[in-house]
Amino acid sequence: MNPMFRNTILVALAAIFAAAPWALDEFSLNLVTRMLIFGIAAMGVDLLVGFAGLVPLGHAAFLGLGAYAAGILTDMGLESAFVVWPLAIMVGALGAAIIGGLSLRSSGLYFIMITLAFAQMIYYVFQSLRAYGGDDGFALTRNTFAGLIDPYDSRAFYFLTLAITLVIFLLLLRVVASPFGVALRAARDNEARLAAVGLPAFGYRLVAFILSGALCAFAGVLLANLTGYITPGYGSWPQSGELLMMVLLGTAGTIWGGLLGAAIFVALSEVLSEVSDHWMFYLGLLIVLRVLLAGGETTKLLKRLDPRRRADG
Amino acid sequence: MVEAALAARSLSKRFGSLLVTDDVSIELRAGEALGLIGPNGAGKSTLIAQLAGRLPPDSGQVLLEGRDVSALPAHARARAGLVQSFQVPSLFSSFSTLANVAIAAQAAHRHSYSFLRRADRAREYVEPARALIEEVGLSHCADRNVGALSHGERRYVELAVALAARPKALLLDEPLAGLSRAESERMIAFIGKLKKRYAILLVEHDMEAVFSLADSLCVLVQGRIIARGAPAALRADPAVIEAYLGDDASSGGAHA
Repeated sequence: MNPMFRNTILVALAAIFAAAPWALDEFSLNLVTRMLIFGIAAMGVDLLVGFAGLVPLGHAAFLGLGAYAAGILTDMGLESAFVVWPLAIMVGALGAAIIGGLSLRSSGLYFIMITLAFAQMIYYVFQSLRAYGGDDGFALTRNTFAGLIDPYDSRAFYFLTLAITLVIFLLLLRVVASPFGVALRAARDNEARLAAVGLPAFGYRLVAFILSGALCAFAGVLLANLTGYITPGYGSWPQSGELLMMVLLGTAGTIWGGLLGAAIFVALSEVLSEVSDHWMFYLGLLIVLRVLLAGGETTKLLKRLDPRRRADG
Repeated sequence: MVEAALAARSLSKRFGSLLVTDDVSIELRAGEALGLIGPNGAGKSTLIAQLAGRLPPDSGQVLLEGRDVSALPAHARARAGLVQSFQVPSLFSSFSTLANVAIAAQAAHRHSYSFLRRADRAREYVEPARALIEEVGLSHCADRNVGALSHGERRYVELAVALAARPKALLLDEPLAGLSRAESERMIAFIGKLKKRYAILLVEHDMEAVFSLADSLCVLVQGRIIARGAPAALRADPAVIEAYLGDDASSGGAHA
């Protein structure tokens, strides 16, 4: 892409995002905030799918862990986002370290099933938390920012989320081009050869898993604050599937694809659910089309799921 | 006595009832090339896999510069300097030629937990990679994806990747396989130069190449070393001729 064209697009995007709070009503603005939040989670999932070649079907668990940790800590009397958010993200990272440490001993389809199994376990823990509404979930008093930001002001929360998203996006772009990112991609391409030149894949995959879990937890924290409500549904397996769909819709292995895919997914689910009760059908149709049109990448992805191919690289 | 760069002591490996490695002991010295020959299925690649740590032997030891590395996994052995090149080029398929070699140079450093600097601007990875690519004569395709290279070119990248990992002992598993006559000759000359820098174990079907490169030879038949010694002496050894050279020496050139 020539720099002129790229700069024009960047300026246009910046203008659109800066003007959004004044151009949109509160409902629509919250929808854009939601796109950004899911964009953070999807970028995290893309780190695994697109760069490590691992497909997790349980990353909603970390979304849920972040949200529940934030909700429970707030309920215990901690209010400040400066305390609650880092703690909640650390809970997500810790969960990812444990689940990743165990799941990464498998690969391909087994990896998908194990991550799903762990996520289901966490989902049922959420459901069984009677003190926190069980199935129904519970309301969250939004976290405060030492008076710097009004958490109930949609515009302020939008700009906060936008800033966080931008920082994460730029950091991730650096991470995937770093020696760590190269090692991660090399492990995806040919794990045996990477070991044969002296690098074990496991540690790099685990760090990627923890990073992506932490990002999903962050998204969970933001989502809980946006909606003011937390339910076990945050950690459900359809939610895990939706995160994967976002990555596929937006193009895996690009980081920006997570943002784009999340925006498309949130927008479509909103628009289509207005039009028809069977909106999931149309969404599914779109995803099928997207996958067929971008056959090359998807085929590569599916090949990576074949453990034999990974073994001999 | 000089410490062997690489030594295997009484390696044995069984696949079910089949003894694929039968009490094999070898020694490699720095600056020397040991040729390992034997008919197909003799267990040459299996032996390399055990030396490199990709396959655990049932018994026996592997020593790198006198240090027992038997308990180390493949990546730790590679880092210690025991590096192999593969019979079928085994590359990072989505990477360019340069990136393939650079990741091996990167691996030769302590670790890669560096998150915010750009790997493609890390001089300590890229410069040795460029130098190696130039050495194997592939500078013109440094930035091309390895998938776009010819088989012969991929063989050279394969070797450059192994060299970038900073080996002390180099295990070359049929480096001439599938090369054209001209490419083979160039590769033989190149390996000849490498001999000065590393201890080399050379597994090769091309007899001419083995006899010209190896300082000494081991003949592996059904997992056992049936003869060893200077190449010239082995050529005349009746046991070797019967087991191997007899039906292969005449067609030895055909593999090239």
